[in-house]
Amino acid sequence: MFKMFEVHTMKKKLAEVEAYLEQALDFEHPVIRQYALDTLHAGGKRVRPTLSILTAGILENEDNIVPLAAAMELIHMCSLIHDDIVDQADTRRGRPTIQAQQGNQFAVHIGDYILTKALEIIQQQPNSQRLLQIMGNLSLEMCLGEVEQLRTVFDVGQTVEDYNYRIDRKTALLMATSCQAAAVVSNASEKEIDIFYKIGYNLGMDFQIRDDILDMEQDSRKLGKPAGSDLAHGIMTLPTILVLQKDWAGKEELLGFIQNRFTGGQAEVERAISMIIEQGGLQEAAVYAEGYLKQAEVYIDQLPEHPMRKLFLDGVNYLRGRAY
Amino acid sequence: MIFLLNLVPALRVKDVAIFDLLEQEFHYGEFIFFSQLAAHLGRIANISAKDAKEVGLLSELIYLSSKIHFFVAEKTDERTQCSALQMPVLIGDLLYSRFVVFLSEFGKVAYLPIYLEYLRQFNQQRIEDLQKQQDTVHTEYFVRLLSQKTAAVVASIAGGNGEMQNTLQTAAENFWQEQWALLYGKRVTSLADLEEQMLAAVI
Repeated sequence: MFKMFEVHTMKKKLAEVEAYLEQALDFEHPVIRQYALDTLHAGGKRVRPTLSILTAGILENEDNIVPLAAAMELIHMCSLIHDDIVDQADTRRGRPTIQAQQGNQFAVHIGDYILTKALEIIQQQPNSQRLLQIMGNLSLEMCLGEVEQLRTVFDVGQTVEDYNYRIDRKTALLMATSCQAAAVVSNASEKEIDIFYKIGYNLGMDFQIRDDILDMEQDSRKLGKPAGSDLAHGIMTLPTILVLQKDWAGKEELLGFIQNRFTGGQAEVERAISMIIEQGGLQEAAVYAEGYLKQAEVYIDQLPEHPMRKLFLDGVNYLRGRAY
Repeated sequence: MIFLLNLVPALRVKDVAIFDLLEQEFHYGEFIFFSQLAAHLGRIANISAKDAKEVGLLSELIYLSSKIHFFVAEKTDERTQCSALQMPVLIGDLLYSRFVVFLSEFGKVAYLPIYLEYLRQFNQQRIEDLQKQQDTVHTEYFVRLLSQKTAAVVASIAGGNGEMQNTLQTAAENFWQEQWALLYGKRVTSLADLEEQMLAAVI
């Protein structure tokens, strides 16, 4: 019998994922439980579980999607905890990071501990061998992206292709995999799996570009971290790369700030951001982001007729207007 | 004995040689310990050389990942020195990922819970140590723990009963006592050096 899988069902499934995550992170060890649940309760958009649920919804699979969607969020959580060590971030979503509270070693082991739970859940799903291969490769690529980011800090010679390599691994692959894995547990055809993967990938590329735009556009209160923090740490995002590719008066000053690693402090970072904005870096980056959303829409159109397909398109529009 | 060479390609991901990314000094010679242990246990349990080789590699990767995360630095003063702190986090994750991929490719997903149990115990103990500012987890602790888990995996592959499991656990402990100190003292400075030392071990 055909089941309507609409907005309220979507919300219900997301609530189930949240409850599942609460239970999954309710570890026996009180300290691990505290930090794991604090990380969960810090919020987040739950974009990855949403993508998994949408995919499974279109494929009429309501049975086993909640654990997988939760596992995708756990993998994301682990990557954030480890990223905060790599980036030496003091805050995340407006709260002190684990490494800021307890140190790098403590944080790395909390992340590893949570990852064991994610793998345990995945191992219990249908097609677990393939799922683990997908997750392992995903995680491998995410690490390579981070390694590349480390190698290229304050490198002003980066191209759009270099940037794409990094954000592909930093964000897009996990979103692509959230769709792909959901399609795999739903026993989709290879063609369908591929389409879902591409939808997630394009949404992910857009998501990260807009994140990078917001990093320069928003104040720190909305971001939950200092504005322009990527640039301050030498991470060349698309607005900066695009502006540096052009010739304009004042470019040498911007290059100097970056190459000297902002020795003048936050004032120099803010001056650099102003220059990037004045040179149209944010608008030009937004054009790239829009290109990925349009590509996502092309693939969404290839999905079978289903009420959930509309929710995918709503998601595209949400990303298009995202303000935080 | 050619199985020992398996770790070398496993430590190269695409064009990136994992060893070359690490700036900290490690006693790389120990990394052939688990391959040797798995081969030894495999002979006792009468499992295939292929299975023993695969178990050895899986244990090597998870051990290496644990050890690298164990030694993540706590502080760096200069931004330029940050990679010494950051790379080990990423390389540990990279090896962890490599472990998951191989586990799947070898068709050994069923043994994942045994390895996860190792990771839970190791990480939990380490977190407790950091909280209490004590030092009960050291290299010996997690090598012995993983040796026992490696024995459990080999026993599962052999389909052995409780007696077989006990035999392998004891064999793993004895092997550790006999071989660990010998391997731990060996230094390897690069991937090429590791390969050379492994070849020397084979000869």
